[in-house]
Amino acid sequence: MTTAAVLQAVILSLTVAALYAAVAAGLTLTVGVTRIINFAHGEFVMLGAFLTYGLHTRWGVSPWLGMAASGVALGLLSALVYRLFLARVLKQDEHNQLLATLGLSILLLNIAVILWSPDPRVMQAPALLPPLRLGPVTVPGNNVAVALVGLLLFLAMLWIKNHTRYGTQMRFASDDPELALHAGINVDRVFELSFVIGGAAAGVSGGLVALVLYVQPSVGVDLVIRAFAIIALGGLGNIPGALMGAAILALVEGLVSTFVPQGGSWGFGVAFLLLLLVLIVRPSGLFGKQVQA
Amino acid sequence: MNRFQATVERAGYGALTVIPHLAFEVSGGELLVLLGPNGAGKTTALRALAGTADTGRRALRLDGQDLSALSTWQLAHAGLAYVPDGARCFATVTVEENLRGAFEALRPRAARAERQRLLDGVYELFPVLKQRGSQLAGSMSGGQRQMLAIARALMIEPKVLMLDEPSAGLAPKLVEELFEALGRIKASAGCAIVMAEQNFAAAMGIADTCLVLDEGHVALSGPVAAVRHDERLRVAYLGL
Repeated sequence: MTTAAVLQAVILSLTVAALYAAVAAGLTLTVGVTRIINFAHGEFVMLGAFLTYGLHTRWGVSPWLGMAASGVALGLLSALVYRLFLARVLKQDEHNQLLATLGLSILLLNIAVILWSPDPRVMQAPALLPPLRLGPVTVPGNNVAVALVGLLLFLAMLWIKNHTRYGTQMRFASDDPELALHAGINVDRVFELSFVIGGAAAGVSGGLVALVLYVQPSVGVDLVIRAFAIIALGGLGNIPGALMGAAILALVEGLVSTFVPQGGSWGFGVAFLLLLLVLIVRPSGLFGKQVQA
Repeated sequence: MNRFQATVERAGYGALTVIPHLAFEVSGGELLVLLGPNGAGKTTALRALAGTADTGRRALRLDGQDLSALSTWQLAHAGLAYVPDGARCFATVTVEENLRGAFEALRPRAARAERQRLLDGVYELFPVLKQRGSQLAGSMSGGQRQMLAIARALMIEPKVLMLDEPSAGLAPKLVEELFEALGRIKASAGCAIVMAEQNFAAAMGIADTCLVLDEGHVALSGPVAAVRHDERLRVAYLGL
């Protein structure tokens, strides 16, 4: 293997990492604030991918616009799901919440299979940006777009959480929901808002998926499992940690797939072996705070 | 000003009634202390007022304004600040963010100068909080967290301040400091204070009126001067 080939693999992996990070950042915002393990986040991404794909193939809508539309649509769907569905299980046992979101995930996945068939498809979109030449390496324009938008989304989540009024309320509500009520915070609204923002991020991430991955109903399942792995690697609710987690996962996966003979099917597995090791050594994640009793 | 009238009936949790009936009034600049041993229902009484315990009926009036229908977070907007027991703070954010966030939750569009004025006020009252401003609240000692909890409540310029056992778990010297600060709040903040306390020796020093709870029933109430020598106080406390 040549240096150029290694570099190429590393850089392409990093663009995928930005996509993973965007999916994980939306999820970690929601999970970190509401403590609801939302399995359906992956299906929100999948719906965003189908929406961007459909708008482009049917009406020639630019994927840039498709991404934005997916963000708005999935934000609205999240509000609906929260009000009709999650607000009711929020006060119940954690197992019920888990089953509820897992059920929603399976439901959305199967609706997608019925509507669009399980076949993978490729969005034939012209490159959104010109390719980027970095020495011996050429990064395709769509990968550049994915890296940029993914990183932007990721930074947006971070900014919302740490530098806005709503972010402070989110951190209060996740820290001690009852005390937040006493502080005059409408905790239910804050939970809904974090769910809507996470959902909108999932929608935009879906647009990115359509640019560089196969669009298929099961795409969300693969992504949400990776997102949970990334969150575990980074530490729950730790958004910068999620970025490192995404980079590690995507690099390991990308390098194994590229350089190990028949590694294509091994990449995913090796990445999860890594996750398992991290959780054995540091159960709170690589960058998570050690919880003190 | 800041006249607070409260009545609760059948306060408790689900089918369990802890307090059959409780009514009191307190005005700005006054401190009412709810006394009683462990399990007498002090915490339940305050939780019933704040809306985190179940009540058969709850009637709250503040300067003639009816607050009975408000939920927990709405009560804060109406000027009722509640400091739960256990020196609870937002442990994973810094001391300053605890204070700033409490202010912004109620007055998002207020000028920075206004926030700074209130911050200066609570830092003057509890100087240690200024030194610890950038520290995570959860990493402070129990006494400092209790000061932060009270400071957080003061950031909303409350009309009514409700405190649940602020002295619990604190060393005697800290209790003395804390009550000295409460005395200053009472004298200067203009709010009505309702405080649940077990430590009656300390509480009597700053309280004006007193309500003694015994197994959920009001055993005795009145001005502190009259209650402190009443034989029934000892009965409620010691079961003698």
